[in-house]
Amino acid sequence: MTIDPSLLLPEILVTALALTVLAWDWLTHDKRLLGRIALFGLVLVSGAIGGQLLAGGGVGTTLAGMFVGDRLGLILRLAITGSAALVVALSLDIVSSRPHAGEFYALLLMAVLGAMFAVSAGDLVQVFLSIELLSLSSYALAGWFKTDRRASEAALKYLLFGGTSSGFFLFGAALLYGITGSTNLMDIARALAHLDPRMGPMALLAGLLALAGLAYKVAAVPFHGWCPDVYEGAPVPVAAFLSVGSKIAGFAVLIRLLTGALPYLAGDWLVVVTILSIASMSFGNLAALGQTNVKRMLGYSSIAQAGYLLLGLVAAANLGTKGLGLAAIVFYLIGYAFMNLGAFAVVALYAHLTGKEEIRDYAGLGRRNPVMALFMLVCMVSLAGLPPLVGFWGKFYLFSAVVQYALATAQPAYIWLAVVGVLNSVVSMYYYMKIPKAMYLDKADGAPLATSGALAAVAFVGAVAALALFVFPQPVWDLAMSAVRGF
Amino acid sequence: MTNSFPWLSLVLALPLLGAVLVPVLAAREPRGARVVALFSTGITLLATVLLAVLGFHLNGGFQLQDQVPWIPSLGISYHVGVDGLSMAMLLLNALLVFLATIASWKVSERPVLYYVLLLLLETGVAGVFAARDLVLFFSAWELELIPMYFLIAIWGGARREYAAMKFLLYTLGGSALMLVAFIAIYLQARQNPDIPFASDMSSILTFYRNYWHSGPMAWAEVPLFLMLFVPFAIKLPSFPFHTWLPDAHVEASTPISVLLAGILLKMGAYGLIRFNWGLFPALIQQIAPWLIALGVFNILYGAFVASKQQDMKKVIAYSSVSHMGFVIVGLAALNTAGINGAIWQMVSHGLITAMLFLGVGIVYDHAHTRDIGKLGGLAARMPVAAFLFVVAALASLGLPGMSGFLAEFLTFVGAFTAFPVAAAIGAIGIVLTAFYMLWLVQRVYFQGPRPEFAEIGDCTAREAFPMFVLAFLVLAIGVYPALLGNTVNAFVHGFMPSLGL
Repeated sequence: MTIDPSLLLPEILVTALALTVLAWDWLTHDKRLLGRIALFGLVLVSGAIGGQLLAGGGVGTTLAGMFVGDRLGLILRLAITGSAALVVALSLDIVSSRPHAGEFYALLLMAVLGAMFAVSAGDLVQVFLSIELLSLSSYALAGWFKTDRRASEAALKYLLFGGTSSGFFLFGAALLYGITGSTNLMDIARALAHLDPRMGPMALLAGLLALAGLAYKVAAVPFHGWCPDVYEGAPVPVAAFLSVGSKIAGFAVLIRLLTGALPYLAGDWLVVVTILSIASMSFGNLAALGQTNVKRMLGYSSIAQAGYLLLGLVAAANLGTKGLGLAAIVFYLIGYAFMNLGAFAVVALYAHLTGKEEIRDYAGLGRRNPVMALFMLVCMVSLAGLPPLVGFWGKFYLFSAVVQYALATAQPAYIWLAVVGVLNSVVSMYYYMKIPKAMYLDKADGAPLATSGALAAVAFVGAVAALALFVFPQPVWDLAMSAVRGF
Repeated sequence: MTNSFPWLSLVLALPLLGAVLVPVLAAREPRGARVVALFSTGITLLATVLLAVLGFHLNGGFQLQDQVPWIPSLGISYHVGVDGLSMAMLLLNALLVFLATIASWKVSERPVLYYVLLLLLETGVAGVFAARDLVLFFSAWELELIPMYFLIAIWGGARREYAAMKFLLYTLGGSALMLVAFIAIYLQARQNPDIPFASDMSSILTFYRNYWHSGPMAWAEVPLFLMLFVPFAIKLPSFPFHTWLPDAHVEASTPISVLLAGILLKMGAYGLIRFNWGLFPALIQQIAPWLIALGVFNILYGAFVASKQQDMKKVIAYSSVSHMGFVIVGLAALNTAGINGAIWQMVSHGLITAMLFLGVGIVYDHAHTRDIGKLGGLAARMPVAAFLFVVAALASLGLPGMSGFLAEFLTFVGAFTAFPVAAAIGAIGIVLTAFYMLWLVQRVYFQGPRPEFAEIGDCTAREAFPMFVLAFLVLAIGVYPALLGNTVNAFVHGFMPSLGL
């Protein structure tokens, strides 16, 4: 077996970074530098991945086909390390002054590593191992506030849900191996092409079980139960990372599994993905309407966003529209990372300064800190999918992909799927506007709120990117198209 | 495709520039925001007028076009351009926002935010009327929403949050359908490799003109028509989608009501003309009787409900439902006179209803109530305000010599030619309008002097100025119709062939 270290360079760097953080924590007394080391390292890794992208490097397979280096992997790994850098910036003020800060950053980097390996997985074994690495690190991170009852509950709930869904995935993977004699995604696809028809139902069962395990990772209904609790209980930076990193990893694996290994079952998983999508959009949005806690509301919003993203996979069921659907997912994930992290930055700042996380606590923020309120407004409107912000293009591409699928396959029913999607975004407007409503409409006394440098910078990046990517979407769209060209 | 200098884009960017300048220049002194806003809207108005006078040719079709690729690989571009209809609407927008800024002079709560939102609103509305690309049109359409939501929800009356959210969700619900319809229309046009910009409105109109019955999209004609009809009918507003309007008007402050009725409703009519009439001419001819019936129903329903209201603002709000019914009737007549009348009505209603809302605002500011039952005899106390309101009311009921008369006259000439019976029923609406408008004037301004209003004074020059400007325009257009007529007529003559007539 040959190992090509250039393909694994980002992973090697992140591993080294995690070990450096742990060693620094162990050897020195200056804990404040920990976060800065992690931040600097992640920026460096992002730069390295960006360099590979620009130079056209990092392409090929290694570790005996386990690890696939391609543009999809590079772009999504860049999205993960970039988001992780923003999450570390979010954590600086909140985490660094507490005990065990070194473990926090090391665990976060381990989760990043898991997400990165998941994105590049070419083999069911690597999918499982990397998802477990991501999940185990996340369980510990979710419960990092050890003395907080809600955090402990969140961690336990996350662990139980995660363990069950890992079981689903493992069972599905085992069946696939049994049917096809391989764990390599490409080999599975080849074997399924010449499958004995009597094994059809078994293959379908295997695919559905694996799909269920991954649906949990992206928080799709009915595997979403952990999401609101974990978002509410976990520290804000952890919730921010889970909402973005976990989703990117989950969708990357879904793309590789469904379009890479199971294209011959497309007719079957199409129906399941459609149902999951409708259920996630509708349930996530309707449940979010009644929420009073900002993080919990963002949790339900994250479920709904998973539903929108699944629309891209619907379009991926047809060869003619596959490129559009997958590129729409990649574009949406990138835009979503910016707007969601921007929103979490304001939540983190407010929680850090006042200790409050209820929507009604945001009353008067428009006067107390006009700049942060504006960033929050921008991110919320973008999440709702309104122009002139990037969320609009994200939804535009996803809905376009579905409508294109309907036109290409002459199935008008799928136009109604797009209608369900847009009507859902109307519903979502109601709760996304709750925070701006509180910030600008509700009267509350209170002195002007200070702004923390790092948190404000993250909110600034999120809000400005949301606006800039609306005005100049072409470069990111080109990137997204190039990511899925080989699929 | 692009002319030498992007004059139109520059004019469109002026209010946006103002929205950026207001918080910068008024950071120290919030009260200075209104001065910056007045300059911004004033310069925008001046620039729009100059553009119309110097850069616009009556028979030139779409002109002053600027096109820059936006997402070239998907055929989406930033493309703006104006024809007679767009130009008239841009002028109306610039004028009404300028006058609304004057009418907002006393806003003391969060002035910086207020004027930023006002200028963003102006940008969005202008973008709707100038956009020549589906995606750009949709973006501009939605850009107007959030500013309007906050303008109602922060500076409105007692139930402002409810009314603002209702406005927001109604419009969003409509635009959700619009987005899917646009996507389907755009994707189908993209199948044709000869079209470089598939979301370009001109390309799409050419592509679809003869497409429906021959192409593979025949099944989609009626659903797509409905998905485009509902959002514009909500905005217009037409029964049964009108219920957001009275709520929004009652809660909104005077200048916001002026903009809501004066220009935002015209976005609905504009969308109907551009998309429903432009894209589906064959279908429109089939369903014209139904559209006439809807228009006539709106005229009568709006008028009946208006005559039963106790709140002056609700009277004017329902009169808008009634008057926008004329637009549907005129458009559905499908002849030169009718469509001329409909567009006249769009402009004329914009001027007149703005006057009426300004008049109600003056009454409310001085007498502190809009309840018709509590008002009376105001003419003796505020003769100038009474005079201006009477002018507006007479214009609204279609008195000859004013803009409203020509609008309704042309509409009904067109409608009688096409559908005599329906037109005759609709004409009852004119009588009803005269009834409720004069009754309103009678009860508020003349009936019995009331002791509680003995102390109130007349409107100030600042309050009267916007109404004077509007009264002058209403009379000027009424006496010298060519002022507006040449532009509208030139547009209609270019538009008729595209309807296959």
